[in-house]
Amino acid sequence: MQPSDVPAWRRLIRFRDRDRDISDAVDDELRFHLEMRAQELALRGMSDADAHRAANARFGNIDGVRQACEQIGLERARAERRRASLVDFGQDIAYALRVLRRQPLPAAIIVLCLALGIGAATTVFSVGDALLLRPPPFPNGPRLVVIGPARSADGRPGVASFEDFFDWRARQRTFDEIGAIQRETYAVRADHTTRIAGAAVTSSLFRVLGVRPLRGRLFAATEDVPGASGVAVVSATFADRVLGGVDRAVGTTLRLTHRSLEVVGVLDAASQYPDGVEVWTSMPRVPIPEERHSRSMELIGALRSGTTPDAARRDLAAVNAQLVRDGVDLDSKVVTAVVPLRDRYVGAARPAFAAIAAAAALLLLIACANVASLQLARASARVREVAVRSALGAGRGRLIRLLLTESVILAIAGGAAGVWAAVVSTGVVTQSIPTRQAPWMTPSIDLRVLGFTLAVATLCGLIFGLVPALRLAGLAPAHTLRGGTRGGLDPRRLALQRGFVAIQLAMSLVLLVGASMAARSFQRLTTLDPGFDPTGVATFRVSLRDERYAPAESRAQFAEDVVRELKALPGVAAAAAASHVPIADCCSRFGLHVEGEPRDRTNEHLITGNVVTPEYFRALGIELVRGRAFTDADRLGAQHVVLINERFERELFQGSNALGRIVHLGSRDAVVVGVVRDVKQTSFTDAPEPQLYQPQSQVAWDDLTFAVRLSGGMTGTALFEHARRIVGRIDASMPLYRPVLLTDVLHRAVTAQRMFRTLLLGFALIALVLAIAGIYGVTSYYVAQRLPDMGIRLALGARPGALLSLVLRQGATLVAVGLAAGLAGAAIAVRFLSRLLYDVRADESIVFVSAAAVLALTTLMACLVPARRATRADPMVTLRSE
Amino acid sequence: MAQSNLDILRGTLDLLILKAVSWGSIHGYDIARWIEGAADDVLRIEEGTLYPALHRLEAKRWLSATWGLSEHNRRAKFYSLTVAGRAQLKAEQHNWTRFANAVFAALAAPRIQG
Repeated sequence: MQPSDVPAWRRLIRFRDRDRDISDAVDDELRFHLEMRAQELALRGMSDADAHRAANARFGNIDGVRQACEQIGLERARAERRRASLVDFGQDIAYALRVLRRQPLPAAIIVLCLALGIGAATTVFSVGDALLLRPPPFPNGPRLVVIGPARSADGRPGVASFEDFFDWRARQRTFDEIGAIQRETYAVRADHTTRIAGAAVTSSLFRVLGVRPLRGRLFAATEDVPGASGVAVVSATFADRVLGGVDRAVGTTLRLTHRSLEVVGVLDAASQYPDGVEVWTSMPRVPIPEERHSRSMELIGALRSGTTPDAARRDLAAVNAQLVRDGVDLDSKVVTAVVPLRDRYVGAARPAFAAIAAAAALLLLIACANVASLQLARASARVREVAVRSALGAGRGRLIRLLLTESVILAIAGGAAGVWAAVVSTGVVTQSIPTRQAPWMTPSIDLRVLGFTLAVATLCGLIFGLVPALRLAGLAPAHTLRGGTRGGLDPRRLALQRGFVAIQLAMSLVLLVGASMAARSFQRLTTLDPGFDPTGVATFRVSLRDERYAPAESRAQFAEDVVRELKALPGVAAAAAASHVPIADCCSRFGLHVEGEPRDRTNEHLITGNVVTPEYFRALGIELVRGRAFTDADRLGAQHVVLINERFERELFQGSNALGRIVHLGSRDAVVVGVVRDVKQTSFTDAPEPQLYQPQSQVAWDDLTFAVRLSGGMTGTALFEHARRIVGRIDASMPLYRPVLLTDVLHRAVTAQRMFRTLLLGFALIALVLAIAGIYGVTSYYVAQRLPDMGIRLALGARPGALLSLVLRQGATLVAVGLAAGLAGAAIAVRFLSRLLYDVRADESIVFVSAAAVLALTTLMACLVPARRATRADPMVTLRSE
Repeated sequence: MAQSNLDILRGTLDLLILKAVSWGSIHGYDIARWIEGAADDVLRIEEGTLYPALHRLEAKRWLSATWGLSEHNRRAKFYSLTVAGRAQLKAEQHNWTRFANAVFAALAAPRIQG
């Protein structure tokens, strides 16, 4: 196994040798002519010296001729070399394709690995870029932050009061501008009344974003002051749909239910904030100290350039301290949080994305390891073939090129398939992303990412094709052909290949464990009892924010009328109206004291509350534990009553029977008449918290959600048709909106978790397949190498079982090493994952054990196939070939 | 006179070489001598210019070359006509004859009428 004995530097100067041959030949030819001529002249009697001189003279410019001839020769040689290499190249490709076709499986696996690795990594990082890295597309995008009260400094900012906004804006030193947004829904009267998403905003909002109007103007500071006439800015799509086009919108009058506004400007789609809003109205308003604790404003600010959110947070904390010194009644339990706008959308998704990205990176590595080991195996299996070619006169360079051509073809095929996979899967992932993402977050394939993963994967294929190619080409053919190495390479090569497979097994186990954890978490999440029964519940909304519904009686009456008519429909088991339906829309909090507590601010409890009509609990299937539900007798003017959940009773009444006890809600004193089960109100992952229910007839909420329990044959679609008619009959100007089945809401509520699980599971499955392919490859190679050996052993009387166990043993060692490393890695990964996942612990050993078992079983099965081949080894074949 | 001879020769040298080689394997010196003798000294050339022309024709694959022994047992480069070269010779010979005939005809034509 010596390398060829021509040193590398000699091969490098071979071209120069050829050039010298050319000029020598020219010299010889010219000298022959001159000497022949001189000889002839000498024969005619000239002296030798004269004859030579005369011959040279007749010849003309000898040096010029020599140079011209050499030039022609060189050019000719060069052209021939080019032609030869082109021919070689064509032959290389044809040969490589032939080889690949003859052994399609390893080639296909390599292409598949490259495609999967490139596709997965590119998709995940492209999506990640869209969701996590790309700044919002507004001119001031990177500087935009959301401001609001939170329970901790790094918490999610909630809504603030107008008074907070006013004081912060006036006293801060770290912002260029702050804007306030009050989200609304507007009933727009055009051909028919529709409800659209809108927002009342301060004129500063548009300066915060830095946007310019497509037509007309935006709001002026004078329009923030009470007394100014209300004006509106509309989105381009709204202008097209309702106002007869972008160009005709400015100057038209927008008729909302209770007021009319002049449209002064149009915003293009890219300038829309908040997302989905179609109509912005001005907000003429001044602070009213008593309203400080009525929070409903979203605040967004543009940081001064060079300022960090942290500095802004400290700035606002200082402002708050100053306000307290000035005697302003601020809630001491609340801090003011400042977070980048982007985090508002994806704050919770960030760690989950990190996990997915890590998984994708692992997958890419696994794919590369697999490609490497398969390339090594392919090369090893071809020692004899290469030796034959070498013996038949193929040069070393030619051999390397030959082998490399295959790697290049594989890399190109894998790369192309990878690009395709990336395009397809990015599309799929984009579609499955929850719809509340902003439109500018739509992922597109990131070319830098694609380039990077392409480079990594193809380089991996090339390098691990090149290394064995160099070694193979260096083998001495005679030695190999005599059978000295029995068609194999050195044992170190096998160790390298086995190393790759072990690494791959380890990484696959990490993915398997992680995916199992995610699946387990998701399963627990979707099978947990939310405290209500969503099956067969249809919901829709009607908003009564209108001056005609200013009197509480009219709001109570509206709810009562609609509910009564809904109940009269066939196929309706129960119907109710509520301020909030679980999961579908979040909650309001009410400040309250319970009986016997000192009634001051520090003892106030902020309790999640719902305002409902009597049949709410029946409609949603919420179990009444004790006491009674609301009845029609609980009217305005009668005794105020409330229901509480078990948690409320346990925490605020210390577990003693709450029936008949008093809850103080501001000026109202209400009696607890019933206790119901705990309900997941905001999200599935809610910790149980105290909840309060008040009757709609006494509180008269204005933004209502109706919940209808369907029975016997009534479909959601049919119900919504009926409901639209009923609502229209009671008040034609009040549009019904957001009709949806509660099960759909729940399904959508866990979209992120479902996607997380599905992605991880998909990655793990791919990893498992790759691991099986990897170990199959290395074991097959091992068996192929030992086949002669085994044949002889069999001939000498070894039992097939012994050979089987010999092969399996080497596979098992590999699996054991891989799994041990994998378990260690998985333990670390899971510690991180358990913080992201609902209700899983880092020490769920059953997951580790079963994942390891699955991997061990499947990979050992993969070893079994080549192992059985070993037991059928024919000693005669061995003896003949040796 | 000598100058114009050379100019003509430059265009026709290739043709003469092809012709010289057409009877069989021949080395450069013999080609030079054949041109000398056959063209009656009218086409006296600088012998050196023969060789770049030979090499160009070889590069065009109209001639093939091998090294062999001369009549005096010396190593010499022998040229012979390839199939492509023979076709080329035929074509050029034909062209040359047509060209020459045209020139003769023109020289023999009567003067232009009024």
